[in-house]
Amino acid sequence: MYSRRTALIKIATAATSAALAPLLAETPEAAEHHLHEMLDQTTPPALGPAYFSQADWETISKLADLIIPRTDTAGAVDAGVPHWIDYHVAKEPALQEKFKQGLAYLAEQAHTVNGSSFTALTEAQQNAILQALSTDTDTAKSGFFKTVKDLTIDGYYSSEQGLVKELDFKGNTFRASFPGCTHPEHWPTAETHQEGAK
Amino acid sequence: MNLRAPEKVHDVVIIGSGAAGGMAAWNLSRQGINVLVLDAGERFDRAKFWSHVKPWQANARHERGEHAPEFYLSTKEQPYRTPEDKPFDLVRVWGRGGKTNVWGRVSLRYSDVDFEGPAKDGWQVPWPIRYKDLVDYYDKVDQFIGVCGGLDDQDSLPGSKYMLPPPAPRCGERLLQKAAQNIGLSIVSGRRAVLTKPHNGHPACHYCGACGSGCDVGAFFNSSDYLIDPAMKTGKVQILDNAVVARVLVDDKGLANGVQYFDRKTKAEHRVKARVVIMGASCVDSTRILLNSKSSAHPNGIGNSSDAIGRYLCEQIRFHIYAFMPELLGGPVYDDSGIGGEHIYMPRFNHRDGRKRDYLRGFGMQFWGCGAQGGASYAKALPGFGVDFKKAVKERYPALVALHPYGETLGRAENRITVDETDVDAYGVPRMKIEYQIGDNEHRMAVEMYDTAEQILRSAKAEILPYERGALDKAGSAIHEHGTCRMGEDPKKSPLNAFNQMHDVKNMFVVDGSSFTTASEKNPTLTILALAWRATDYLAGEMKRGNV
Repeated sequence: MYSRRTALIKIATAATSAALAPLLAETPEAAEHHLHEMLDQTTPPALGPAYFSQADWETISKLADLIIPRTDTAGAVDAGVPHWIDYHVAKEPALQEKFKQGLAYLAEQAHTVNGSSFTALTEAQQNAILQALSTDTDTAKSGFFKTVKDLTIDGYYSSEQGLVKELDFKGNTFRASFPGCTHPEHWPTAETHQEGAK
Repeated sequence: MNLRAPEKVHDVVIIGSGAAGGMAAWNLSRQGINVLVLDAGERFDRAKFWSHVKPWQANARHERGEHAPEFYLSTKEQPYRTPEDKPFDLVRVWGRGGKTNVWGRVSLRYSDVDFEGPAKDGWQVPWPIRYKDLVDYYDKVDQFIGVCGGLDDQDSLPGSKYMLPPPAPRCGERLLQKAAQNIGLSIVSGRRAVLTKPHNGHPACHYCGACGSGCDVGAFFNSSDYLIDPAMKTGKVQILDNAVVARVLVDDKGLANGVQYFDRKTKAEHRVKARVVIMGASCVDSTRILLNSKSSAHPNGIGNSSDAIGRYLCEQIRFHIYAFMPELLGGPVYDDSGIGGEHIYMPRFNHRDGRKRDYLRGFGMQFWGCGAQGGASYAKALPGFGVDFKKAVKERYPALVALHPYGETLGRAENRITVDETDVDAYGVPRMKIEYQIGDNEHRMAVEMYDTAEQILRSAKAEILPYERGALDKAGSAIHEHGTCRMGEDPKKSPLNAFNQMHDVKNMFVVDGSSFTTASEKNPTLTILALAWRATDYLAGEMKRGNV
């Protein structure tokens, strides 16, 4: 049977790329592991919202940006978090109700501040509203902030920008050995006597 | 004229193909005994596992409507009931190898601290065996499946004789060992069924850390590759997929003579005949089948004259505390994947001289999730938002440590599984009801479990993430169900004897977690393998002697 696995191994065996050569010297599994990365191309997120209105999409993008802004590394918007939120809210009716109420409250607050929309406020005004929202004793209000923050965290730190570029995640790859902690100053002392030792 | 072949009678029918059923099939078939294995699912295809799929690739795949292979049985397909105020999370894998496809691989031998517990404190029935009865089998299991670990035995954690090399601890784990040592506690090498070098024809771990998605090369013990495959090579084993067993059938004398099952796809009923029946369908499913196997000889379920089957359900209490080690804040990020999960373990210590406790039994501690992970869920517990928040998340990324204490729950008669004739599943077979509650003893133990975790972290001067002291995971979360068909010398109190054989029904054996007399604080799979090996050695002998 010509499975995906045998296909991958065939590609690996036929490959002449210099980058792959050392891997082929190890095992087919190693080669396969790396090939998955090459073959599993991610589709770039869609540009606009599938669920939210354009105005709500802009508000949500601004919220994500305020929670994890662009610094010397990508921010939540760069990493496609608005799309991530749109996708999840579209799937879950409970989230839809939460967002409906939360966005309405934000609009109301913005109107009180300067009679316009949340996205039209200055960043200082937006931050002030978010700060108040995040600590509001009304759990519906602080809960909405928490929901947006948690979705932003999940979306950003599972993206390549957030996990690899920002946090420097190096795992889920093929390694021939595992060095562990190489800092003797972190280690316990040589254990001459320990309770319970046999 | 119609010629009908006589109906085949199998030597042994085994229900389940996980650690228990897989071991029974392997050990009997290599001794020349014909075996039929009934598996409630199918083989999982390693080539389709998502072990190599990065989180962002998984997100994109989900959006395209793709799904990782589904290991877990849906409660929609097989619902069970619980009282509204007593939720119980039951995790089941129906398919070749069962839960060993995705298990945590923690492989700790029971010690005599565990086996002697009930005899010493008088809670419920004593174990009919001691460490000396099982030590040879533990030795054989370690050598056969490959368990890595250190040569650092404790009174509560014996038997490091055949360990594969232990993986080096990560920075956070070293610091936890140091912090514990400073307050007189021992955190030793973890013992895990992961191959740190090639072993018995299986390849070594390649430290990708994605074990929870299933291992793409089979570098940790799973019953399908390690037991069922070699068993099939004997030519003595036949396996039926998608065979959902309903009942064990009996003859006029009340002995088992076959099994009734339903095809999971067609829902058609089938029966097979057998001289011996072995239950290895996992604690809860074996119990369901035994209780549903009612006959005039066994009105209460097969082998249940003791009325103990279904009762004394026990697993473990546990909780989780997360913290950040000051030495590692803002430091370099390493690949902390390792063998996936912890490289260290804290054995039970509360039984030792000079220590007092106001509860029975004890606890140990596990530490999966230390170091840089493939995500940053801890960020949800950090306050604020914006540039400072982003910086706080990054600083803490290499510094995360995770403490997961596990404590034994006592077996209680009222913690039980029952079946209800008026509430049937898709096959018309009574569904089960689980009634389970964590008791006072466990809540008292939890106090010391919290104290211990806090002392270690204070000793480390760690920044502890907010937690609710006293909170415990929902019942069932440890996925270590035991006790509902326990071993014991007294047939009035225990359904099984010291060889996992039914006191009432000599040609029936129960070799999964349900056979445990107590739960201990330890993960059960290694002990299930040793018990199943020992029980089937005994069975093979009894068959040769003509006693079964």
